[in-house]
Amino acid sequence: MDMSQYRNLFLSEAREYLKTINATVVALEESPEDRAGIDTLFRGSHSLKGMAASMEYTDIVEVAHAMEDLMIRVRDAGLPFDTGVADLLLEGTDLIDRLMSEVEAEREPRTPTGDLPQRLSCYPPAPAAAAPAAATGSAADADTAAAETNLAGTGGAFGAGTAEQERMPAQPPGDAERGKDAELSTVRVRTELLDHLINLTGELITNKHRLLNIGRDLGSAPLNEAVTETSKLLRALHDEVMKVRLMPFDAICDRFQRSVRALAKRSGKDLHFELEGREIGLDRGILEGLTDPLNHMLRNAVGHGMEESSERLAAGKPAKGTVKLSVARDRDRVLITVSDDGRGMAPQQMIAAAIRKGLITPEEAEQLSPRQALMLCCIPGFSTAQEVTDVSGRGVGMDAVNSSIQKLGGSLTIESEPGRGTRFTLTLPMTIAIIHALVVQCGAIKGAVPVTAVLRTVELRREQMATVGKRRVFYLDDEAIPLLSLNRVLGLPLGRFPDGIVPLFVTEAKGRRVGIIVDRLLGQHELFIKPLGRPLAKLQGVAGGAILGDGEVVTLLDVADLL
Amino acid sequence: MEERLLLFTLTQQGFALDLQDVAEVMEPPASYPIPRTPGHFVGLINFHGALTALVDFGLFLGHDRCTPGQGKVLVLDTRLANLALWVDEVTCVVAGSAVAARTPGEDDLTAALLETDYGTVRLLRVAALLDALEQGL
Repeated sequence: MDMSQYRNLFLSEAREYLKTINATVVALEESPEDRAGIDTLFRGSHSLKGMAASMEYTDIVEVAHAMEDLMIRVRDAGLPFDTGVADLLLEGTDLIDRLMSEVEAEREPRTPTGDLPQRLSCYPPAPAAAAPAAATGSAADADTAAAETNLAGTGGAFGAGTAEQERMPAQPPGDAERGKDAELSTVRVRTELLDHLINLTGELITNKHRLLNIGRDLGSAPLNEAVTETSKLLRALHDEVMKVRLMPFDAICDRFQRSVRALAKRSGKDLHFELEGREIGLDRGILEGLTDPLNHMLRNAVGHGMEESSERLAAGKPAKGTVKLSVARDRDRVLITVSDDGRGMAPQQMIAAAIRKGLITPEEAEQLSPRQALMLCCIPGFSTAQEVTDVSGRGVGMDAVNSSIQKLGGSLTIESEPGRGTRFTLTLPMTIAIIHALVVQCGAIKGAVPVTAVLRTVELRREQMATVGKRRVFYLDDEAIPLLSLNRVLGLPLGRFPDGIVPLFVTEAKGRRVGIIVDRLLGQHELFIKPLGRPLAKLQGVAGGAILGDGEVVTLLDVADLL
Repeated sequence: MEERLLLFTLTQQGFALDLQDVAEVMEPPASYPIPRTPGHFVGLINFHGALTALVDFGLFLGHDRCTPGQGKVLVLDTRLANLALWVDEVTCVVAGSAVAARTPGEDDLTAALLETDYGTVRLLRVAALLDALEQGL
């Protein structure tokens, strides 16, 4: 009998249970008396055990069974839900996840269950009035590993805490029925099918533009009208299909809970982690690209931004700090904010550090606004950390974060006030499959630059150019903007401008505005971006390509990478 | 399924590809230059909606550039890569059983040397070709 289809179903459903268990454990640490949460943990463990038993995955059954037993004691025998219970359950979900990875890879089981089932079964009950429970070494290690491997969790407070438990009334029975109805109204769809739908939609949009061009050339009113109607339908189809690609931010955000929990414990900081906007939908491709950058920013917030309790109290702040990750939508954009109420960043200190490291000259420093000074942290090698810890401080992270965000077609801004805290705001497009881009010509190459990377376009007269030091610049809003030739960056002969007008677009690179000179600006286009695949998949400076309405192929330029 | 081989020539040397690795043979299409690539990358072509890199195979091997408008383009199966090879001529398709003798190839790109009715041909190793193209970027 072919068990593979059942295996995939088991893996898919089991992962959802693991995610729910992780999220509920972290939530219960803040509200250990929440009866619904305790029931959820029991049901989750019980379901995992049952599913694993039907597939004869005995190791998973052993661990899930021990977790279920522990939750029975919490639910029925007065065992307080404390940090020790939480750590053991999280260790259990991590172990089950590893065992499931072996199942998925069709490998012989190699990961031993060790003594975890026994530790789950023998966890000592605490007095009903509860006492602070220290995390076991292995559970703290599990969280540390989870911080690195991004396992799930939901909102809660971390650091020192006590557990209290009250009995809550049982859930109304109708909820189970309503849950089943909700299940029937949804279907699972393979991501390949979704991607195929997206591709077809993109092809339709490309062909729409071709028809528009043809209609314009022919001057046929009936054709133009038909194409206009088709455009409206395509727009509606596009919007619906894009919604299919959307996944809630919740799909990745709860893993940050565990990461921040572990980091706070390791660095001895008492902090509260807030999550907002979990339900906001983002393009699947963008979600995938956000995990590492957000993880890094949260590590920085805990490692650098947050003070220890004693320092906070001395500054007149509450002992417990707050780190917040929030997601909001603004028309066709998503705003993701990582903020803290920690020590903040001082622009002058950033400038001094950058000069000391030779990243900028004193003359360049004088040109910087406070906002631009804060963006210095995105230059490779920049770090004001007094010491390198295993949490952060090597100065290799924020430049990678900024680069990742730009690759997704987004931008990063930083606001900070010394002593009050810092806010990082990522502005991202709703989708990366279809974008608006500025098409430019450099020699024989037509390239597309996402409009999110274009601050403005300029047609400069030669006499507007100046020289500062050895650099060619032009002045925009009283700021000297350095000029770079995209032809030169691409290894092409420099363009000629016999009419004395030099076209360029202004972008931001390494925290500064830069003018990128091209041969021609060819206007804004709506492009369906396609990957290049092997052998060009890793070509530096090129993030994909697109087909214009006239059938021409343009390459999508990753300006940040090129510069 | 019996092995079938697509035989083609380049500067009068014979080559072969496993027919399963080839999606289509076509006339040289319009291509659009790719920035920051070596000269043997002629450009990107639109292969039924998939952006495919067109490589002048002769130039890649160190021979002369293919003559524009002449030759044939072999588009590889998109499950392997988004790659098309510009060659001089496609000879024919032969069954693997028609190969008189096989000897090991003398370089990484050559899986085997095959003795056929059309002379000795080099059976290309697609994976090695892809690696070599990527390393050159």
